[in-house]
Amino acid sequence: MVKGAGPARAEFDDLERLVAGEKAAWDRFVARYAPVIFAAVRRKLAPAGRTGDAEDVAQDVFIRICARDFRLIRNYDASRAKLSTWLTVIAHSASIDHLRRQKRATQPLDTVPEARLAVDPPKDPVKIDIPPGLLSPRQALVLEMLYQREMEVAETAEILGVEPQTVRSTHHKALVKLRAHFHEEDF
Amino acid sequence: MSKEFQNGQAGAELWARAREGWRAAAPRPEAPESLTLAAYLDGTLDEAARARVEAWMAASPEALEMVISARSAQAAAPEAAPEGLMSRAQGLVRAPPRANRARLGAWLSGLIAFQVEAWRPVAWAGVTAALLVVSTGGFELGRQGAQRMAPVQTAASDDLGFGLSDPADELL
Repeated sequence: MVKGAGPARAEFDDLERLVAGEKAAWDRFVARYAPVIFAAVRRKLAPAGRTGDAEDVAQDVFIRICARDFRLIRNYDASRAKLSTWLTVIAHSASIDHLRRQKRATQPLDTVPEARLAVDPPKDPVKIDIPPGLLSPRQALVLEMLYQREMEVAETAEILGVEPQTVRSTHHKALVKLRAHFHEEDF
Repeated sequence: MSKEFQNGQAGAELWARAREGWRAAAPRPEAPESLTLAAYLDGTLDEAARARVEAWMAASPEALEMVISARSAQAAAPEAAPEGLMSRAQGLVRAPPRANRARLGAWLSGLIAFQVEAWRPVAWAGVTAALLVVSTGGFELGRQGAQRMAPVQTAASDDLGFGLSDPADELL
C-alpha cells in the first residue's frame, strides 16, 4: 500500500496499480516521469562533462524504482513530498553515485606521468577554535552561501525556502556573534 | 561575493577566519533519506527536521551542493526523454507478477466450478428439452415431408392407357 494522500495524488493517481505490477500503470508512470528524471540526471552530469551517460543513469533510476517489488514506491509517503521532487532527489543521488564510480575507475597509476602525481607539501590549515554553538547551522550556512559560494540573498533565500529578509537578519546576527567572539579573542 | 554584501568585506573576512573552526566543532549529522530531503525542498518539514537537514548542509560542502542542484533541477522544466530510454524503462515491467496470475487463475477456476455446480440441474433440463424439441420437430418434419412426397392420385392419372385400348382386350 502506498502511504499518504498528499500532493502526489494530484500528480499521479495510479501508484496503487503500479505497485500491483500493472503494466499499463507502469507505462504511464514512465511516460510521465522520464522527462523529470532525465532532466535532473543531465543537469547533474553536465558540469562533469558526462551528459552522454545521462540515458544510462536515468535507466538506472527506473531499475532502482522497480527493484524488490517496487520497494521504493511502497515506502514513498505522498503526504510528505511531491512525487516529482522525490524522483528528482533520487535521480540526483543516482547521478552522484555514477560520478563517484567514474572517479574511482580512473587511469591505472603506471600510465600517469610522475610529475602529475607529485603532491605539494601540506599547508598548515588556518583553523581558529570556535566554540560549539557560537553559530547555529543556519547562520553558518547563510555565511557559507553568501561569502564562500558568492550567492545573492534572493538565491540563498530560495535554496533555504525562506524570505530574503530572514537571510539578511540571519546574516546580521551571525556577524554580530563573530565580531563579539573575535573582539574578545583579540583583546 | 554577494552584490548586496560587496562592501561587507569585513563579513567575508570574519567568515574566512571562523569557517574551519566552525566546521571542526560542528556536529556531523547523517545524510537525510531521500524522502526527507524532498520534503525539505517542498517545504513540508517541521522546524526540528528542517534544522537537522540544514545542519547536514552546513557541515558538508557536498551536501550543500546536492541541495542547490536539486533545487535548481526542481525549478527547471522537464526535458524530453529519448525514445530509447522510454522504451527500455517501459520494458522493465512486462507482465503481471506470477502471484497475481496465480490469483487470477484460482479465481477463474473457482468461478467456473461454481457455475458448473449451480447450473448442473438447469443444464440437464435444457438438454432434455432440446432433445424433446429436436425429436418432436424431427417427427413433425418427417410427417410433413412424407405427405409432400406421397403420390397424388387423380382421376386422369388413374387411366394409364393414354387413350389406347388394353391390348389384352383386343385379344379377347
